[in-house]
Amino acid sequence: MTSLAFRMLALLALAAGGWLVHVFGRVLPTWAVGLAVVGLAVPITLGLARRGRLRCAAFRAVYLLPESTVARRLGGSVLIYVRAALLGAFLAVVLFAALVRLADTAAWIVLVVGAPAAAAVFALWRNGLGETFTPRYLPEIAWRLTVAVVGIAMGAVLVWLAYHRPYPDVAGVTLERAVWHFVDQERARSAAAQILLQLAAVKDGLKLWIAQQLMPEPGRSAGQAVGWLIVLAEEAVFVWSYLSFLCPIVIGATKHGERGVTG
Amino acid sequence: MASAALPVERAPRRGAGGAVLVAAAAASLLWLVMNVAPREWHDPDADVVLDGVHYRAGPDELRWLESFTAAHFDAGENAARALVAGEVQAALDPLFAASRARLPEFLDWYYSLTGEYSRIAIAALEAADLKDPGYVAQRAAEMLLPEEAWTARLADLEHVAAERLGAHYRDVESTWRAEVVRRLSARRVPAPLDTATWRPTLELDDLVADIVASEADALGLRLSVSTATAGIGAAAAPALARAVGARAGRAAASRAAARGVSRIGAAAASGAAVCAPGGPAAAACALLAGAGAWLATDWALLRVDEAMHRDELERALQLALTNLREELERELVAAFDAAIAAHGDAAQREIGRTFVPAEAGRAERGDAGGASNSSGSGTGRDPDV
Repeated sequence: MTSLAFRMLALLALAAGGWLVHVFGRVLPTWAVGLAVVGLAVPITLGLARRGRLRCAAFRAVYLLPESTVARRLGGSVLIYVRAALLGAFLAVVLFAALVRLADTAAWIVLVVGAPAAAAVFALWRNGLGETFTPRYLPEIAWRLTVAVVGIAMGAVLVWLAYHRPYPDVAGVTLERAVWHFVDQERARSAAAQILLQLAAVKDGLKLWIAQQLMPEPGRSAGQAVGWLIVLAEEAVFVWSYLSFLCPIVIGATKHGERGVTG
Repeated sequence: MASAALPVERAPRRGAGGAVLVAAAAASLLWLVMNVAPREWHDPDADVVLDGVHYRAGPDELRWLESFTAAHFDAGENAARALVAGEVQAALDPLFAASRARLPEFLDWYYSLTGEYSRIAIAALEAADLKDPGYVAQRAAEMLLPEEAWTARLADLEHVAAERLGAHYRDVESTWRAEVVRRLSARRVPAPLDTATWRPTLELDDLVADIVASEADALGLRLSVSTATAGIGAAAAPALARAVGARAGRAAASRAAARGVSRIGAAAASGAAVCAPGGPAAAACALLAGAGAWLATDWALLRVDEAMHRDELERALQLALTNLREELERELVAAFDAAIAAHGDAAQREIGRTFVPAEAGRAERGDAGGASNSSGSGTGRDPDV
């Protein structure tokens, strides 16, 4: 089996993990919810940390002398991991709520297809840019371009799906009633998970109410459509956190590239 | 040569095998995504709707609500019975007080010559089958319990009782409503956007409407009260007949025996004594004198009969009126009770029916621990993020 196929299988396994979060997220006890969030946070943190170390190594290689004191002290390992852990925890919580609440089958198909596609696109970029960028920076630039291509494609499809999804009419009701409509539909065995889902529902209710108050007739004009697209642009956050979840498998081990600078 | 060619041949084979494996894994995952529904968690809270306001009630509140509702309307039914009993008593008291006040008038008639000869004449007609029996009882019923007094009083009772019952049921309903609102006020929630909800819903507005409708049906049973009172009105004459008949029978027999001996003798003696010197007018004189002696004898015998039996007859009539009143009160209370019980049964049925969804919700929660598969495969669900 090739390395690409192996990565694709691993990414499908991660996507399956995300789907299991969706299937069982509402019936998990709090401790299992905590494990699920940690399970999401660890890959995100690893990916962020690896990319941080790559950027740090590239910075040292370009701007610092290898034998300088600053170069020795700017290992960045602890600070990079702390920062990655904080950001990873936040994105994991966002991703958990999003995965549990993602009820559209078409959107799930996008996520499943997007996982191996990310590996394939990353491989293409890596091979295509191998003669242009240094090996140390190649994974980072390939990843950025992969996020740009796959992320934009996924985001566009998700926004398109969201744009054509039927929404309740909240134009004629109070904000309280609109928000309650969404909050009331969220239930989970774990109180913590339920609060998390309800917070996401509050955001949905607020977003939809404001959107329908300001733009009561979507589709009437291009401006209104753009407004709806802006409102629905939050899909990008979801796509970003999902791709971050896949990141460590896509870019693989980066020790070799980092070692070349520090060693 | 052969060994050098092997890696070249294996590489595409490995790549193809990996691609097949990836495709199979992706297809499997896609199949799962499209066919396996997420597990849902149902909380046991029910949506309670009262006066158009929505409340969220958990199992404890639902249990309290069901038992409180049943007990409250049951207590209201008992209070309605007591209220109706009081109304019936209040209506019958003046009716029978007036009847008792008319007793001397009836007794005066009974021990009068007019009454005596009316009875004799009617008895003759009865003997010749020219009139139905029971003249004295009928006369007693007409004098003591005149029909217009009956009908007016009982119609008034029916009207007042219906009004009081209606007011009572409104009071029961309003106190129930106030207590429920007080208890659930902390759990008030905004109204849902659509009525289709997975939550069990208790439409207490429907319950109240059904109870009010059953109240209207029950009060429609007032007809049975009217029927009962009409029957009792018809039964008044026989009841009084038994009392009057027992006394009058003995008195009339004694008077008849006395008359049989004394009237003829007294008439003959007085005619002979008074008209002996009358000559040709003696026959007419004897007839008049005999008639006068006959009347005087009857009057004297009536006075003796009255002196001997009037008190006894009055007591018998008092007792008959008392028994009649008790019987009438029983019948009226029973008629109203039937209406109240019909209303109570209907209310309890409605309460049970209304709380079935909540019971079902609790059972589902108990059986499945709150988790279940959602029915769809994921289409048409909530917005994602």
